[in-house]
Amino acid sequence: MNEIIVKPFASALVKHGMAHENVVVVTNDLTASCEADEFASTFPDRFISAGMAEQGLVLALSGLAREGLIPIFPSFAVFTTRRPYEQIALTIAYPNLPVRLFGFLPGLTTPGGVSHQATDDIGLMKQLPNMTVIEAADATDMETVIDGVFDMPGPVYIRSLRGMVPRLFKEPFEVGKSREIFAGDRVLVLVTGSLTAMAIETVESLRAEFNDLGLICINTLKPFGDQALFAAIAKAKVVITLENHLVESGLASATAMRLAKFPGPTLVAIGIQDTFTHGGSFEYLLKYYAIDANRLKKEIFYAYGKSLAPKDDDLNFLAKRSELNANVAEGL
Amino acid sequence: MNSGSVASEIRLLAAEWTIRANGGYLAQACGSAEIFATLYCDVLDLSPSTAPLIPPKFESVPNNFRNEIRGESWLGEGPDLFVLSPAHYGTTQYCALVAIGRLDKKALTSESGDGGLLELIAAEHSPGIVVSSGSLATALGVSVGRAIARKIKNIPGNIWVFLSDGELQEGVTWESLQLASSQSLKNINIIVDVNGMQVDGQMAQLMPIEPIVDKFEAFGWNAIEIDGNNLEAIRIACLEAKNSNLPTAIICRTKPWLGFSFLKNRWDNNKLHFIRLTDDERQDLISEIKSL
Repeated sequence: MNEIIVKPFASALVKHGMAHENVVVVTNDLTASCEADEFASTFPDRFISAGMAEQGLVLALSGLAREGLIPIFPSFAVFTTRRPYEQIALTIAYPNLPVRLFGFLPGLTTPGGVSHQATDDIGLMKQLPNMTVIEAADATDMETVIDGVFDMPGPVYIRSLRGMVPRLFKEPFEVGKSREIFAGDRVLVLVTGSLTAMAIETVESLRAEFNDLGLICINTLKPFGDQALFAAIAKAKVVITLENHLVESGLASATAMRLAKFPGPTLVAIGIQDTFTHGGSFEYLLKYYAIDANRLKKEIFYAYGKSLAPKDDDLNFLAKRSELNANVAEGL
Repeated sequence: MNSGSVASEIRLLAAEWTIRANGGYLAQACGSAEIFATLYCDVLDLSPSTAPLIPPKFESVPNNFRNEIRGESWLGEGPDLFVLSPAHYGTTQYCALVAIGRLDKKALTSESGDGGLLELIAAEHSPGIVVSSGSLATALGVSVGRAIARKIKNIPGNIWVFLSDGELQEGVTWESLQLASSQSLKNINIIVDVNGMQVDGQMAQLMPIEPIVDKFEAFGWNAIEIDGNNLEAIRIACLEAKNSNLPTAIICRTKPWLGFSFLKNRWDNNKLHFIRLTDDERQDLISEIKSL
């Protein structure tokens, strides 16, 4: 069982504020919801409540950064990325300013339906020149990512987890460095973010049968890949990508671009397939959109040429909900 | 239908929902119960619902291949149209539809879980929902577009948009307002629920938006300010709006804690946006419901 950390980002943000006097936090009415409440009470002079007004808020981030501050904007990923997109593109990405954008409620982790489910945020940010794109997979990532990107001169988007977050990794986050969880050079599973715990459990359960089944967690979507990842991909016969995002513009697309340059393995993309989504529990939605543990298991079986599909729901499903704790002020 | 009993029913159903689901947008319903009740009983000119009393299960989001369910069907085919902008009031709309007989009470339980259309944050397949506007301040601009189209096509009826005061913080609200007045629209009116709260707490302390009346007037709108929990005041203001030569905004000052005693304490402590009941609150709420 994984250790569960409550609000890992909240305390990390306070420590980051202690270490760096030029860091300011700006919110759009989701302060406690995005774990900025402890920073706000610790550093009231470096906290700005900008209201539900994201376009103006992002323009102000640009101004803050141009005066030498490091602004951090934590919100729900849909409101971080899509609502003020023009302003991010032209006033943050284009002038290459050191702004840190955090997007919580990734993909289908929220019951809030189409308006609250960020299924395209990675794609939107990935296609902006100058933008670095990261997805946190566990509590260690959420504790260390803000320090890990501090020295980056340009803007960074971090797809984030809140509330009760499992700890999967001991090593702190490092930009661009993939995390090999299981070595294996025939079938390689690549996973990002909120599905990582589930992928670890699934792959682990099949390793006795398939001892050359590998698993790598990708925490940096852009720039994509380090030498270790590229070497593993080059050796594999089948690469399976697993993401809580549209496959057209997330992990699968980044992997496909790599494979287009350096052909080799077959790519199997598990993720949301060119559709808007609807509201419901995380477990229900993963099953509905076929990105759950059972789907991963089936694809691994197929990759090994086994046609016998495992029966449904025979795994102890461990994709822990990364949110919903008593401290948040909404029901998402 | 009697607007007073409909308002009471909305509060009761929303409270039962909150107990059942162990969480809900109860204060939104409590503050706006009189607005919904008056609109449905005394203001809106709606033809019968064309949708079933128990909604079908979720089938599809809009695409080229399937006919998705349209939440607007529960509001009939006009001549008036009621557009709910803040999708966090979905529960209020569902409860109001039950109270006026357009939705079966059983649907509040059977259709609010996985695969049901009564989503927590309503989408446009949810009963009574015209625009998916969980991303706030989205539905007003769409309604302005519909009002312009109806003006061009000379279609009778008024579009009534329910707006929350929090949405006045979004810049796009003001773009939509200026478009409506520049087009001299007489077929659109807005009811603003000024309950003074947002997720982080009380708006006056976080991002003040006053003076609301002056701002609407400055954008070319007729503005009427009333007590939004007073049925008769709402009815009279809506009548005035209907007869006005300008698009009209009815600024409703509401008390989101009305109806259940524990809510006032939550207002004071900035914890009113979403109600996840404590054990004490649950007991209090259950006993208050029983005594109704």
